[in-house]
Amino acid sequence: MSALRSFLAEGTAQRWLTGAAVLLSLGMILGLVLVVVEVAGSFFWPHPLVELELEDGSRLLGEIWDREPDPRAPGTQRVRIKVGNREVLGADFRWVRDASVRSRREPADAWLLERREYGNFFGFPERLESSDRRSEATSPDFAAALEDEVRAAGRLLDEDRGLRRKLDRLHAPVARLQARVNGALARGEQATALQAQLAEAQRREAEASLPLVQRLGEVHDLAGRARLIMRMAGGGEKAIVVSNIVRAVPPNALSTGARLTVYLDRWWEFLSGEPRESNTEGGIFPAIFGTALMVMLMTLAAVPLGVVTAVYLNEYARDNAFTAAVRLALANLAGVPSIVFGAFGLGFFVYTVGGGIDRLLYSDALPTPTFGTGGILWAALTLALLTLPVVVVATEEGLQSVPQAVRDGARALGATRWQTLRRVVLPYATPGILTGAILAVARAAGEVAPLMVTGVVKLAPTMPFDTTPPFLHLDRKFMHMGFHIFDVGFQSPNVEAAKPMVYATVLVLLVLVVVLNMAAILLRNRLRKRLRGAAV
Amino acid sequence: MSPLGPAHLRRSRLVDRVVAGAITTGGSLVLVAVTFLMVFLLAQCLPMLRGGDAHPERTVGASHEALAAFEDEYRERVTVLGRDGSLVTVDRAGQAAVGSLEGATPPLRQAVVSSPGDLLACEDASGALKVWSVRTAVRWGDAGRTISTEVTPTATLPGAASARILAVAGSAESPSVLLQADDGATLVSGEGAPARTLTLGAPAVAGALSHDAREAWLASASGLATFAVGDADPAAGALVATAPLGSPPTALALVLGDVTCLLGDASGMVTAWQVVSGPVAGSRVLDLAGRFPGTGPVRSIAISQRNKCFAVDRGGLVQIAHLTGRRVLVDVGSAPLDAVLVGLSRRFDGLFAVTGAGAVHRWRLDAPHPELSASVLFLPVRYEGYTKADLVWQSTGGSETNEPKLSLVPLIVGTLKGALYALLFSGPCALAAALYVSQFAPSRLRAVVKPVVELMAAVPSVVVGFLAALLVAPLVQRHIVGTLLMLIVLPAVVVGAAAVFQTLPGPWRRGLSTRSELLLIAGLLAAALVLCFTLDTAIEGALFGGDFKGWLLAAAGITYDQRNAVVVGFALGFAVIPIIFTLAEDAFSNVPPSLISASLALGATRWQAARTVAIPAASPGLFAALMNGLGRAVGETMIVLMATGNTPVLSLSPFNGMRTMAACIAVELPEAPHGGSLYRVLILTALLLFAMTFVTNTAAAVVASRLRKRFGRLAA
Amino acid sequence: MSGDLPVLETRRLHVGFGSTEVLKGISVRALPRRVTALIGPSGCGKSTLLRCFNRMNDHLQGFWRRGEVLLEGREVHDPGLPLEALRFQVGMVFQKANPFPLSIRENVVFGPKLAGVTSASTLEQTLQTSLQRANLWEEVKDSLGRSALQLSGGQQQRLCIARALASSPDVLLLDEPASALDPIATAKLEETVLELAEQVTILLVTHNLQQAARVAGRTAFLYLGQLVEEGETESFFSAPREKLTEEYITGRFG
Ligand SMILES: Nc1ncnc2c1ncn2[C@@H]1O[C@H](COP(=O)(O)OP(=O)(O)O)[C@@H](O)[C@H]1O
Ligand SMILES: [Mg+2]
Repeated sequence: MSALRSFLAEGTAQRWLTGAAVLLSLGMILGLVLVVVEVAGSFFWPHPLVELELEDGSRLLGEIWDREPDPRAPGTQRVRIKVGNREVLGADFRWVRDASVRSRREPADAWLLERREYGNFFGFPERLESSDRRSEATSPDFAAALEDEVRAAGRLLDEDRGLRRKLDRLHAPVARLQARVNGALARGEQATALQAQLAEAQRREAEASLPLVQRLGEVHDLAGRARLIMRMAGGGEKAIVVSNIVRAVPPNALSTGARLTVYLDRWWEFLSGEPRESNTEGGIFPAIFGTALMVMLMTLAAVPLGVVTAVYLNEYARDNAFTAAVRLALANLAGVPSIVFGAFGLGFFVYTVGGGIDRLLYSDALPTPTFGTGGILWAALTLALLTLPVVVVATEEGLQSVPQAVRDGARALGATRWQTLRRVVLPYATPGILTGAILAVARAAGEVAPLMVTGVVKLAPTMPFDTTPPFLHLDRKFMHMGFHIFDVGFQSPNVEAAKPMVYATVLVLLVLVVVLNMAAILLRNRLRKRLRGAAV
Repeated sequence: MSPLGPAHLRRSRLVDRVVAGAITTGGSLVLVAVTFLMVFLLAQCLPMLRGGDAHPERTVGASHEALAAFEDEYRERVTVLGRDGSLVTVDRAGQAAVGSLEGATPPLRQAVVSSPGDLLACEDASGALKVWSVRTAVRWGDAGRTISTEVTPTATLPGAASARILAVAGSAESPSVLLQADDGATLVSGEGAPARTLTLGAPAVAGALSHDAREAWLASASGLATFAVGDADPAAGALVATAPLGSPPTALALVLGDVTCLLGDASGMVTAWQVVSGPVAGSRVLDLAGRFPGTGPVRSIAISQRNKCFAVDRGGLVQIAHLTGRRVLVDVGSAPLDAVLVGLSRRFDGLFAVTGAGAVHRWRLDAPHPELSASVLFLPVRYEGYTKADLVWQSTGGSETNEPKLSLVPLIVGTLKGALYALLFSGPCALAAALYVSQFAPSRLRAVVKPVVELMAAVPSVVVGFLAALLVAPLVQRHIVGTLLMLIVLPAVVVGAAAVFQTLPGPWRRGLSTRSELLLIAGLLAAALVLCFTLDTAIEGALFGGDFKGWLLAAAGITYDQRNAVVVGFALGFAVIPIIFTLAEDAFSNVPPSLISASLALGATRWQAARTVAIPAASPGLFAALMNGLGRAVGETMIVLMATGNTPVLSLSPFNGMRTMAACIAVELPEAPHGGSLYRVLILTALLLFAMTFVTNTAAAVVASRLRKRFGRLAA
Repeated sequence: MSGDLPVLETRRLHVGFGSTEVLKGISVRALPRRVTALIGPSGCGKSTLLRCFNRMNDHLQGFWRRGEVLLEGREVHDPGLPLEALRFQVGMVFQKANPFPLSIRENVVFGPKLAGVTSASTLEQTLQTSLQRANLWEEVKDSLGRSALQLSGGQQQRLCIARALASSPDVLLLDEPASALDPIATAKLEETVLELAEQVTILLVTHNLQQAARVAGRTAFLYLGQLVEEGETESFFSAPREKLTEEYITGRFG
C-alpha cells in the first residue's frame, strides 16, 4: 500500500504518461508528413514494369503497387498490379496471388505510354506508322522517331487548342445574345428584336469561323495519322494514336539519370499542367491558380479591415463596453465554424448581394444568374470574414509591441494621433501585420468547407483570369487545391488510381501551408526579439 | 519659434479627425458584421416557422347550379360545371366565358372530379357514365401567354345507371370509376375491362382511388377497407385490410402519394389511416396514424398536389393542415355556408370554394414551408410508411410524393457524438502533453514542441480527413482489435515500465536525462504498438472467433462501418489536440513559478507540485482549453465529411458513422434551392452551430478572463 | 517677453484622475531662461504637474483639472491654441529615453517635419544645431543614418533633448531625465541642461537633490500634491522656510 503511495507520489509513471502524450502528438504529425511525402514523393518516379506469367499461362504487364497478406489464404501474400490498358482490360488494377505467379521478369522493351484518354498503356511497341514513315521498334532510331512524332502531335494539339480558343471568342457574342433571348423567353417577354439580332450574330459567327473550322478539321486529320502499334502482354495488338500520347517511356531500360529526368518532368507537368480524365491525371495548375487568386482577393479584403480593426481597438478606442463587445465579436468570429461562414456567404453574398447585382446590371440574362451564383469573389469575401480575426490578433500583437513611451514621445513633439500612428507605430508594427497576412493566407489556402457552398467546382471550364476582357472574372467559379483533394479522393469514379495524385496535391498544399506558417513564426519571433531589445 | 504655418497645422488636424472617424467606423464594422451575420441567418430561417396565411380574393361567378369545378395550374381561372351541362370559366376579374360540356346530355345527374383535378366523371340525363379529361393548355402568342382549360371527352364507361359515383382516377386513356353498390362498390374501367366488385358487406358511403387506380379505399357507415385492384384478379378486388369505424364517415380522401387515407366524420374529427404490417407475418392491417380534431361536420377534404397538406371543410370552416407535421397551417376562416366544393390549387398557392349557386370564392395561399415546424425539427414524427414516430433526416424523399424528413436531432446527436469521441481522445492526450511540456520538460523541449504543434494546427482539415478516410479507416478496420487493444496496452506498458524503473537504484534513475527519458518512452511506445498489432490476429482468433465484426453483430447487434466514430475521434482529435495543447500550455505557464517553487521548497516532488499547485491553479484555463477544443470539434467540417461515411444514423456506437450538422450543411446546401424548406432548415442548422460555438467560446473567454484577473492579482 | 514675467505659471491648480485628487491647489511659476527644479518624494505629483504644461495629461483616462495653467500668460487650454501648436512651443524629455525606432537623423528632424518644414537644407541645419546644443553632435555626426536604438542610454537621452530642441521650443520640460543614467552620463547631461538654460526656460523634475542644487536657479518642493515651498535654489537649500522642507532636504524622509 505504502509502496503504491510512494510510487504515485514520486510521479514517474505520471511523468512518463504525460511524456508519452507529447510523443504521441508529435508522432501523429510526423507520421502524417512522412506518409504524405513517401506516397507523393515516389508516385512520379518511373517504376519498373513487371511482366508476370501466371499459372494459367496468361501474362500481365504492369506496375506493382501494393503487397499485402491474402485475406483468402492466410499466410500467403498477394500483390496489386496496375495493368492499365483500361479500354481493353476494363479495370486499371488486378490482384494477383503470389502462389499463382509462375515467372516474373522486367522486360527492357516494355513501354509505358501516358495518354490523354483511358489512362496508361503498358505494352511492347511493334512499329510506328505515320503518313511519311514507318519505323520498326527494333530499329535503332525508334525511340527518337517516336519522340519526334509525339512532339509533332503536341504541336498540332497546341494549334487545335488555339483554334478552339479563337472559335470560343467568336462565339461569345452569340452566347451573350442567346442568354438574353432565353432570359426574355423565360420571363415571358417579347424577344423578336433580340432573336433577329441573334440570327444576325449567328450568321456572322458562321462566316468568320468557317476557315477556322476547316483548319481544325485538317489538324484533326493530321493528328490522327501517326499511330503506334503496340503488342499487349496478354496477346493482341493495339494501335495507339500518337496524338493521344503525353509521354512514352521504357522504364526498365532507363538509366538513373533518365529516370530522374522523367521524375522531374512529371512533377513539372503536375504543377503546371491541365487536369485530364476528370482530374485523376495530368496537372493541378488550375487548382493552384484558383487557390492563389482567391487567396489574393481575400487578402485584399481581410488585411485592410483587420488592420483597421486592430488599430481601432489598440490605438483609438478606450476600454469600455463597446470595445468589449467588439472583442467578443472577434473572439466569436475566430471560433465560429467555417461552414457557418459558408452558409452566410451563400445566403448573403451570393443570393442577396449577387442576386441584387444581377437584377440591377445583368437582368438581361435572368433567370440565369451571373453574380447570383457561387463565384471567386464571394468565396474570397467569405474567407475574408473567416480570416479577419487572424489578421487582427497578429496586428494587435504588433501594435502592442510598440512601447507606449514612443507614442508619448511623438505626441509630446506635437504629432497628431494619426501622425504618430503613421510615422512611428505602423512601421514598428509591420512585421505583426505581415505575420497576420501570412497566417490568414495559410488558413485560407487550406480551408475548403465554406468554398463548397460559395463557388468552388471540381472542373472549371475557364479560369477566373484570362485574356478575354475584363480579364479578371470575379463571377466565375474556380478550382481549389483543398477541394481538389476532397473531390478526387472521394467523388471520382476511380479513387484507387487517383489516390497517389491526391497525395501529391496534399503534399503541395502541405508544403505551401507549412512554408507560410514557418515564415509567420520566424517573423513573429523577430518581432518578439525586437520587442525585447527596445526600450519598454 | 517654429516655422509652423497655421494652414499646415489645420490640415494635419483635419486629416487626423477624418482618419479617426474612418478607423472608428472600420473598427466597429466587425461588431456590425457579426451582429449582422447572426441577424441575417435568423432572418433567413425564421420564415419557416410561420404556418401560413390565406388572403381572400374577389368573389366571382355566375349563377347556375354547380356540380363540379376545376382550377388551372396557373391559378388564373376556375371552371364551374353546372347541372345544365354548361362550363362557366371565370377569371380573377370576374370575366366569364360560357361553354358546354361536350358530349353530355343535360341535365347532368351527378359529377365527380379526380383528386388532382385531371379527370371528370359524370352521369348525364341519359344515364350514361362518361369521363372527360381536364387539362390546362398554355399557348404563347404575340400577346403573351394564354391559358385555357380544355375539357375533352375520353371514354364512356359501362356504368350501372344511377349508382352513385364515388371516385374517378387513372389516365385519360383508361380511366376508372368507383361506383356505389349494395354491398360495397364496383370499379368500372374503360376498354371493355370487366367491372370489379369490391365487397364491403354494406353500401360504401365514400371511396377513393389511388392515382394509378390500382388501389381503392372504401368506407361504409361502420368500416373502412382498402383493396388492391390490380390486374392479378380481374373479377374482384383483393381485400388488403379492414378496420371498424366508430362513427359513419362523411368524407374520404387520399393524401398525395396514396399511402394515407383521410376520413372525416360528422363530429369534425379527421382521422388518418395507413396500411401497416400486421402481427402475423405477411398480414396487413389498417392503422390509425393520426387525428385532426375540429368542430363542425366534415363536408369535404381537398388534397394538395404538392405536399402532404389537405384542406378540410367543416360545415363552412376551412382549415389547411399538414399530415405528418400534425398541425393546422392556416385557418382560412369561413367558406360560404353552401359551398358544394372546396379545392386546393395545384401549386399549393391558392384555395377556392364554389357555392351551390356557382359563385367562386378564392383565396391566395401563402404557406411556403408547410412541412416545417419546431416539433418536426426537434421531436419524433410519424412519417408515412413508418409505424411509429421517429427522428429521421432524409432531405430528399427520392420521389415527388415521398416527403423529405427533416429532423435535426440525428444531426445534433451526430455532431455531439463526433465531438465527444474527439475529446475523449484529444482531451487527455493534449492536457497531459501540456502538463509535461510546462512542468517536467526543460524549456528547450518547449521551444521545439510549440512550433511543431503550431504546424499541426495549420494542417488543412481536408488533408486530415483524406488521410483518415483513405489510410486510417482501412487500417483500423483491418486491425480493429489491435486498435482497441492499444488504448489499454500503451498506457499500461508505460506505467509498468515506470514501476520497474522506480525499483532501480537511485544513481541509475538520476542519471537519466530528459532526452534519454523521452527516447526510452518512445521506445516503449513503439514496442507496445508492435505488440498490439502482432497480437491483434491472435487475440481476435482466440476471443472473437477470428472475426470481431461478426462477433460484434452476433453478440451485441452492432454493425461495423469502415468510417466510424473511432476513426473520426482519432482524426478530429488530431485537429483538436493543437488547440487544447496550446491553450492548456499557456494556462500552465501562467501559473506563477513562485507558487511552484514554494511547493517544491516544502519537499514536494515535481509531480506533487504539479498536482497540488499547477493543475488546480490552471484548471480554469484547462477548462477554457477544452471548451475551445469542443467548439472546434463541433464545427469541424471536412474531417467529419470525409471520415464518417456521412450517414445520418442515430447511434452512439463507436463502430458506426454519423452525420454532423457542419458536414450536412456542406453537402446539402449547394443543392438546396434558395428559399426552399431545405435551404431554411440548413441555415437554421448553421445558426444552431453558431449558437453552440458561441456558448463554448464565450464560456472559455469568460473563464480565461477571470483567470487573468486572478493571476494579475497574484503577480502584483 | 519681458524680463521677469513667468513663462510658466499655474494658479490654484487642482488635478486628479477619476476620484483621486493628485494636485491640490498648486500655484507655481517658472521664470524665463532659468532652470526651475521640481523636487519631492515619489508619487507627490511632480510628473503630473509637468504634464499639465504640455497637456500630455489630456490623453490619460479619468483626467480632470481645475485652475489655470499659463504659458507666457496665456491659458494652455485656450481653444485658439491648438494642442499641437502648444507642444511645438513646449518640448518634453521623459524619464526614460524614448527614441523612435528610426535613424538618428529622422529622430531629430521629426518635429520640424511635423511642423511642415520640407527644405532639406533647413532640416540639415536644424539637425546639426540641435545635436550641437544637446552636446551630441561630435559623437554621432558620422553616423546620422544609424538606428537611434543603437546609441547608449546617455546618448539616447541627449538625442531626445536634441529632438525636442529641433522644434525650437521656448520651454523644455525634463522629467527626471537622468534617473536611468550612470554618473558620467548624468554629468554630461547636466552640463547640457546648464548650457541650454541660456536660451530656453527649463522645468526640471528630479528627486536628486544634489542635481537640483547643481543646475537649478530656482527650486520648488512638492509634497502630497501640495506646493510646500518655492524659492531661489541657494536660499532654498541653505535656509528653508518650512520644517517639512528641511526634513526633506536633510533626508529624513522621501
Ligand atoms: N493616469 C493616472 N491615473 C490615475 N492616477 C495617476 C495617473 N498618473 C499618476 N497618477 C497618480 O498620481 C500621483 C502622482 O503621480 P506622479 O505625478 O507620477 O508622481 P511623481 O512624478 O511625483 O512620482 C500618484 O499617486 C499616481 O498614483
Ligand atoms: Mg514622476
